[in-house]
Formats: sequence, C-alpha cells, structure tokens
Amino acid sequence: MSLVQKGTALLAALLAIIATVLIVSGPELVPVNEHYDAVYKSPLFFPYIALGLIIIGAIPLAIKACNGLRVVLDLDVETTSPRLRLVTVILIVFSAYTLLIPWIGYFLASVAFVCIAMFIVGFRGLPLLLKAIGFSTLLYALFVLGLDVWFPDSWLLQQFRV
Amino acid sequence: MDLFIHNFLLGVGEITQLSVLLSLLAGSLIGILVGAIPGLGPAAAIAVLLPATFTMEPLAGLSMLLAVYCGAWYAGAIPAILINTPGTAVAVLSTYDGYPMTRRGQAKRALTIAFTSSFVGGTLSVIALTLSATLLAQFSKKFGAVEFTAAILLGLILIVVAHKGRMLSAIMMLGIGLFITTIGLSGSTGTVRYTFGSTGLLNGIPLVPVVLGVFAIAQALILLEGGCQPQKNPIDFPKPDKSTGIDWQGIKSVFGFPRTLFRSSAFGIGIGILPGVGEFLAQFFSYNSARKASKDPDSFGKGNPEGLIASETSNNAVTGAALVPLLALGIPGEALTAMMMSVFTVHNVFPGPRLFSSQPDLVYGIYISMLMINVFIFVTLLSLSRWSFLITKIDNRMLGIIILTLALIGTYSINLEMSNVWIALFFGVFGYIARRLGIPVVPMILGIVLGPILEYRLVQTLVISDGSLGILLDRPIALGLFAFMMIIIATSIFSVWKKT
Repeated sequence: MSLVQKGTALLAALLAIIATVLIVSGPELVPVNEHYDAVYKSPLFFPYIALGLIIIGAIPLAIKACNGLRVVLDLDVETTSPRLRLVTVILIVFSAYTLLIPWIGYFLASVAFVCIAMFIVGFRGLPLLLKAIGFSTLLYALFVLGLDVWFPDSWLLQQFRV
Repeated sequence: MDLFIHNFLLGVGEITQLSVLLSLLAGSLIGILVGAIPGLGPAAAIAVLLPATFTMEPLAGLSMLLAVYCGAWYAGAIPAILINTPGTAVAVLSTYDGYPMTRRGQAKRALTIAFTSSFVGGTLSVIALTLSATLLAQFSKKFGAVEFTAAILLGLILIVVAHKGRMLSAIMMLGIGLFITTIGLSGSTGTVRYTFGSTGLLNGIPLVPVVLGVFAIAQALILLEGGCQPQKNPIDFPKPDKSTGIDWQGIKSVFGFPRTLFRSSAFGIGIGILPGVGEFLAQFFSYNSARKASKDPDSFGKGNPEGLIASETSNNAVTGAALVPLLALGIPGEALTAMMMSVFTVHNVFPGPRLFSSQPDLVYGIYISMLMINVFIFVTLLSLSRWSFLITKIDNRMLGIIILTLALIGTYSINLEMSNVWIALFFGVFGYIARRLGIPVVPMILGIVLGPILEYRLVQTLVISDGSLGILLDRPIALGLFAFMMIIIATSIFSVWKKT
C-alpha cells in the first residue's frame, strides 16, 4: 500500500466518521424547535443529504484505497515529490505573518514573510532582501494605497505615536 | 433581428467604457502570463483576483476574469511547445505535435499555428455562445422549480461522471461542498445549523476564502515543493533578431485544414456546454478524430501541424460554450464559471433567463467582451511570440511566495476580517492534501455554489408535489432531463461493470 493510498484511506475514513457523527448528533447540534409535518421541511433535510453523499463516497473510497486504488494525480502534482517538512514550515511562517500584521503592520510583516519564505526555499544574499522589500512595497502601493484596503493601526506604530 | 441589433449596440455602449476596456486588457495580459508559466493555471489567478473584481462594475469585473481565463488557455501552448511542459493542464496534447516541431526548428511556426487555431476555436465559441445562450434562455423561461431542480441534479451528476476513475472521491467532495453551504443561518427556516455555538459562523462559510484556499494556497505550496527545477528538455529558441515579424505563412497554413478546424470547434462547443465535462474530453475527442480522419495518421505525435490545430482549436472552443449554462440557467458548469457567478451575485445580478430581459446590455457586453478578448490576445501573442521563451524562465519558488502574499491580502480585503484568512488557510491545507492524494477539489466548489440554489428549489419542488419526487416524471422538460440523468448513470455503471 503506497503512501498516497494510505492517505486516501485515512482521509476518506475520517470524513465518513465525521459525517456519521454529524448525522447522529444533528438533532442536538441544530435546534429544531417546532415539529415539522414533513421531512423535507426540516432544517436537517438538506444537511442530511449532503452528509449522506459524503458517506456514500467516502466508505467505498476508503475500502478501495485499502485494496490498492489506482491514483490519478494532476500533472504538476505528479512531477513534484511531496516535501511535507517544507510545507509545514511555510504554513507556520504564513500563520505567523497573519498574526504579526496587527503587531508590526502590513508592510513590515510582508517584508518579514517574504524574506523568511525566500530564505527557506533557498534564496540567499542581498538579492533576497532587495526582492522582499521591492515586492512588499509593490503590494503596499497596489492594495493599501491604490485599492484602499484598510488595516488597523499596528501596535508598533502606536508606540511611536505616543 | 431588430432586437438583436438593439441589444448588440447596448453591449457596444457598455464595452466602450474605459474601466471595462482597461480590465479587459489587464486581464488578458495577466492571463497570458499565468498560462505561460507552467504549474500556475488560471484557477489560482482568478481566485487571487476575485476579491478585487468585487469593487468593480459587474461587466468590468467579469471581463477581467474572462480575459484571464481565455488568456491562460491560449498561452498554455507556449511552454507546451517550447519546453514540452504544458502551461495549463488542457495544453497536454499540444506537446504531442508542438514540441517535435520545436525540435525541428519550427518553434515559431508551431506557436503561430497554436495561436491561430485557438483564435478560430475561441471566436466560433463566442458565436455559439451568442446564439445558444439566447435560445436556451428563451427556452428556460418555461422552467419552474421542478425543472431547475432537475437541471441542477443533472449538472451535479455530470460533474461526478466527468471525474472518470475518481467518481467516489468526486461524490465525497460534492457532499462536502453541499454540506458547507448548510453551515450558518438557514435562509428558508431561519434555523442556525452546525455553527457549534460560534457567532462567526452564523453567516456561513464564504466562497472566496474557500476558493483562494483550495486553488491559490494549495497551488502555491505545490510550486514551492517543486523548487527551482531544471526545465525538461530545454532547447535553444531562435534569437529574437533572427525571427522578426509575424509568420503569415503559419496563419495561412491553419486554414488549409478547414474540416479539422470545424470538427474540433464543434467538439469544444458541444462538450463545453455540458456542465463539468470540460475541455479534456473535447480535446481528446478532437485529437483522436483528427488522427483517424487524417491521410497520414502515423505522423500524429511526431510534429504534425494538424494534431496541434485539433488540440488547440477544441480547448479554446470550450471557453465561450462554458458560459452558456451560467448565463442561460444560472448554473455554473465548472470551477472558473462558479467563481464568475460570485461576481454576479455580489452585485445582486442573478444569471438565468431573466437576465436576458432585465439586463441585455450586460449579457451582450459579455459577448462583445469575449470577442475583443480573443482578438486582443491573438494579436498580442502573435506580436510577442519571439519573446515567448522568456516567460518560461520565471522561478516557481518566487511565484509560490507571491501567490501566498496575494492570497492573504485577497482574502482579507473581502470584508477586512482576518478570520477569512484563517478559513483560506484551513482550506489551503485541505486542498493541498486533496491534490496530493488525487482527490478532485472542483466538485466541492461546485457543491458550495449550487448548494443553496438546489436546497431552495428542491424544497420548493417537494412542497408543490407534497413530498413526491414523482413530479419529475409529470412535466415534459423535467422528464427529459431526468431521462438524460438516468442514461448517464446507466452508462457510467455499465462502463465500471465492464472494466471490473
């Protein structure tokens, strides 16, 4: 069983379990105050259809994956091998970027993110810093000054103002 | 005829506005860039641009997205022909004959043939869109809740069936998409559903962060994983000073294959109209039938220009046709038109039969915009073909980082809330895992777009029929659609059974 087949089986089984739990606990999670004279008038009618579809697709998919499912990958995915450590680090840096914006402001957070992300994927030296500053300036000019996307005053800016 | 001319002039009036023209030109250039960069694709670009289009006039926003869509389809042939790597997945078959032509030193001829064939397919597709969308919209005035329910169900079945070999994953993802739409305050009953007590989820999960997550963030991660890979089979491209001017002979040579041009356009248009089926099938049918009809079938795959014409004409003929179900019925057939639907709805414009009578200027503006996009892209690509090779030298790692930063500000700018960025990040991780496992994400997006319409129409249908789905068999149009559904399901079951 390949890694992709194991992953498919795991994901499908997980989704089937979640869908089942959501169906079973539906009446507790969705407050149905009145008595509906027909099933289709209930607010749970359509969610149950959707969750049912997940189960119908996921259970046989998990079984097929365990029995050696033939995986069809997109062309660009097929030609690159997964680098989970790199992806995890990039996601952590991206999350930090999102969290940093209220503290140091959009521009500085963008410079920091682009610098760190470029360093992680292998860029080095002065061009790294120049590209990061140049690109972040472009982003700031386009979105904040050009398209008027508003960001709250950062904590850092407030310190200087005082 | 008078009405057509009147509406056409209204459309011309709309399209000549500076904002529309600028978005059309900007979109075309972005589309060309996106299509020519292997691995990026129009879905990620449209997802990133989507929030920006919400602040524009509907026609300007739609023109920009349509231009990106068409530009990417045209330019996908550039890396396919030059470095044997399709810029967009639909340009796969263009590598078969395009790259061997490049190896023979005919890179410029191959590019010219590809662009000209794309132009023919794209233009015929716009003509087909103009005629068929208007006719279908007239016909769909007879549609009530029952017919709409049947049409949406048919669309969903086609989307699942289109993922041949991945149908179970498609059903699962469609279910996830439909379920996502039920989170939050229910429009019909006013009940709070599956929010787990979070007030942030009361308004439901918005489409744009999901789209940005599964297309843009997931794609960025895959690009970053690829790193700075050396290009496959790099070859020398003729130096700019040695190949100046437009290759008129190449343009002329395309029209030496009129049957292939029309047959491939017909495949593209016919298949493009069907929701979910898309350009892959059109391209394969077109390529195979051109090979079968050719006097020299053995030369296909070895640099036969007719093979290149067949693949490029059919995949570009899909672009206009894919808009038919969206404009006439309000049912998007694939992810890109689903994203376009959100541009309509954000401006309180609802695609469907009524749009043709309430806003003919917008509908005809879209038709003319599509024509102009095709002309502009064709002329631009022909003029710049000698510089095409430069575009294939962009570093994937830098692209991945750019997409991530654009995804952040794109999601934040929707309603200036960081919560949307977290939603996008969550779906980015989910989209990445799904793509790595070969699970299609498009059914999920279509589920999110079609879910609320289906729920509303389905409940309406059941109220009319007092809970019986037998009403689908009582009305002629619904019966026709239902019979078509049954045929598709039976054919799919038969093909699976035959395989096993």
